[in-house]
Amino acid sequence: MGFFSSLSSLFGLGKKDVNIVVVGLDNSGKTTILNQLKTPETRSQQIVPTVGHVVTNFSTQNLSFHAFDMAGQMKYRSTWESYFHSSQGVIFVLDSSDRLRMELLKDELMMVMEHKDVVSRGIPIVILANKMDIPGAMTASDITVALGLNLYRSGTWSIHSTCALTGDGLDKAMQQLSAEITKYMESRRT
Amino acid sequence: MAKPVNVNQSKWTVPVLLKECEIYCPSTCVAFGPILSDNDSKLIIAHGGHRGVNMKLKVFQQLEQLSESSLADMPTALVHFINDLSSIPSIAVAAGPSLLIYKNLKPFYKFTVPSSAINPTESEAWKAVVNKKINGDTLLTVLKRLEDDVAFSKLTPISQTYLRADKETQVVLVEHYGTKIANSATITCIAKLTKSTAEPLDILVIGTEHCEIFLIDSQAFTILETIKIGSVPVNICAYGTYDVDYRLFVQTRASLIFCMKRGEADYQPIVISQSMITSMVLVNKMIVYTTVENLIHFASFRGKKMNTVKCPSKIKMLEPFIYPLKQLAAVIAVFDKEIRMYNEHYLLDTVQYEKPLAWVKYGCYGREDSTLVVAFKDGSIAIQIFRRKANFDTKLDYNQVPQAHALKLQIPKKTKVFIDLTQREVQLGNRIHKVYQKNLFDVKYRLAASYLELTSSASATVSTTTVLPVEISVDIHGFGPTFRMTIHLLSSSKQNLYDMHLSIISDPELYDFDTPLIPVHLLASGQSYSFTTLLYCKDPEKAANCDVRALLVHAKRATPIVTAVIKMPFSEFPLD
Ligand SMILES: Nc1nc2c(ncn2[C@@H]2O[C@H](COP(=O)(O)OP(=O)(O)OP(=O)(O)O)[C@@H](O)[C@H]2O)c(=O)[nH]1
Ligand SMILES: [Mg+2]
Repeated sequence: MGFFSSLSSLFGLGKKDVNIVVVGLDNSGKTTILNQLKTPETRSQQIVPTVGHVVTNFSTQNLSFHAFDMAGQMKYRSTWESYFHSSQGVIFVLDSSDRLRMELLKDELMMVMEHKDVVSRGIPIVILANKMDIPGAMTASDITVALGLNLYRSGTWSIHSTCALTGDGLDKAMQQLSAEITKYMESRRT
Repeated sequence: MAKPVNVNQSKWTVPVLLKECEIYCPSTCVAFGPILSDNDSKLIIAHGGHRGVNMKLKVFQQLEQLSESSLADMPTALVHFINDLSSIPSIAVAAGPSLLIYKNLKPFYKFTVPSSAINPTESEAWKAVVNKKINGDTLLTVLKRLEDDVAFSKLTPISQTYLRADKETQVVLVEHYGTKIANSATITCIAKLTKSTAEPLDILVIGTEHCEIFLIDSQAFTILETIKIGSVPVNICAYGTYDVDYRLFVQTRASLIFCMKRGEADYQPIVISQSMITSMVLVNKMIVYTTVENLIHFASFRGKKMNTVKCPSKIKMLEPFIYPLKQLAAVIAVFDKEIRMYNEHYLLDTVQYEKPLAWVKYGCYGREDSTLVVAFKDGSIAIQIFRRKANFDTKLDYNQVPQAHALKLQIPKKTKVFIDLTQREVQLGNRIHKVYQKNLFDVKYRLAASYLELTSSASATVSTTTVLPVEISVDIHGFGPTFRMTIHLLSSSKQNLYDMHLSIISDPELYDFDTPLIPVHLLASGQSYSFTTLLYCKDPEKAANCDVRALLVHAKRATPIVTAVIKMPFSEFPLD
């Protein structure tokens, strides 16, 4: 973190606006996670499968996020990529218990990580291995191997186990994302 | 990237195996669909088990088995259908003459095909055996006689079993089923047809061993229509909606395909195949069927053949493939260790497997609309999903002939012998040619000489022995009814020949001979001998003639030495 940004956060001066895009297969918990990140009083009780996309706003200590919650059903997946160029970060949510679609997931994740708007701009990617509370769910390290991420060194990515229902693991993941985004924006400025 | 290249190019994700599963069933016993309240599409399998043991209805979710329940009868087919818009869909399992309906995975209803008429003698015999008036052996005799008189297929299933069962089983059959013999035909195939687009309920369509097709209302289980055809249906594909316009394509055991339309009573086959039809599906408003000659035919709904694919090996089955997002449609053909996707013009994709395949099923499994379930011969099952970025842009012509410039010429290696020979040919080309021409001329000359010899010596005679070269020729003089027959013999053998006979044979009804057997005491080499006999035509008014044979025979030889066949002229009437 640069001196000025920490100073501005110290004085509570206007947080930086950033755009992020939240992608992942349907039913992985994207909307539930974003709901969890909102302040308790603004959370919605009912979560239904997303159609098209929904913009959700929330903030961490120093950043104010505009998150594009994308729909994950097959027919909407091709819309994801058009949001990459205007975002400063990507959250990829996956269902750690969905072993059936692990191969499909790998495909989709690779398409995100190798997309030209992601690679050329070097924007950070945070992978959330969600639904870790479900018995028999794969661990973050299992998933790293299953997706072949251990062999994937280029780009900035990190993986975190989360549970959207309780919010477990979300804080740490968001801290990392904020730090990466800030780093990214500073590198852009210079 | 760490991914192997070929995986990257594949249109399907890497197969993922279902956990701990061992499934043996035909592809007709597999279906996809939501059956519980969670609305998640499950894989439903009626597992045939092993000889009637372990017959189960199994349901899979994700990569695991979710539930299983026992089946009492061997399943032949399975269908997932909607019979109530307000509750969850049901499953129908065809077993014997019945449809077992499951709702929420619990037995819900049993529909049995109505009984056809029973042969009176047959039902009498069964009644008698139950009332102990006759014994089991007499029943067997009666049934055997009926089998000869009426045909095996016309008897009730229980009689058919009885005829083929051993003694113990026969006793059990009489005890258990003797009182309730029915002639309900075994169900051979099942399909579903949507009622209407406004009311997406399914109508069940079943085909039976008695050449009947029933359309059944799936709410009340009443028969809406009964269609009788000339051959046993084995596979039905439905198209359209029942209320508006529908077509049923029925493949029969006699390798015919019928098309039944709404409101038509007369059914003629639209495809008549000379060779056995092994499977049939509908894709893109086309009938696609395979025959035992490893051919896949694409035909219009009218039965007009549009294209044919020659396949390198046996096609196990066909499965339709549709991907509505990109408007892709194809047919998946299953071979021993690979699947191929074809449309009516091109080969679109090939996927290879390490193990022999049993069947594939394409549809919506879990949350993915385009999932392929691949079952292997060893009982394992794998799941693959059609990739979002996959397309059919690379197309191959099906009956591919390698292009002329791609064919490799067999160029011989430049060995020492080859070089020596080439050099000799370059230097002595002229002489080689001359020698060749001379030899060719020689061969032609000898051929001509031998031919001349043959034609001048061997006219109309057959010498059956090469050791004794004797020539025979015969002259017939006169107009009839009396003829004079002169036989000339010329021996060219080195020794003189002794003690032979000339035997003259013909139809005794037609000709009489003066001397039917002429002794030939001596045939000296190079000398010509003549023998004469008179022959009379018995009845010139018949105007009949037949061949006369002259045989030169020797007492110690089984076959004649030489034979002449003489075609006799018609005889004139006698001059009185
Ligand atoms: N057990 C468990 N369930 C979760 C978790 N996160 C989400 N869910 C459930 O998963 C279901 C799907 O969640 P959604 O947030 O709608 O999923 P989504 O990724 O937004 O789905 P689409 O909008 O269709 O792309 C809901 O029923 C959630 O309650 C989790 O961490 N643990
Ligand atoms: Mg959502």
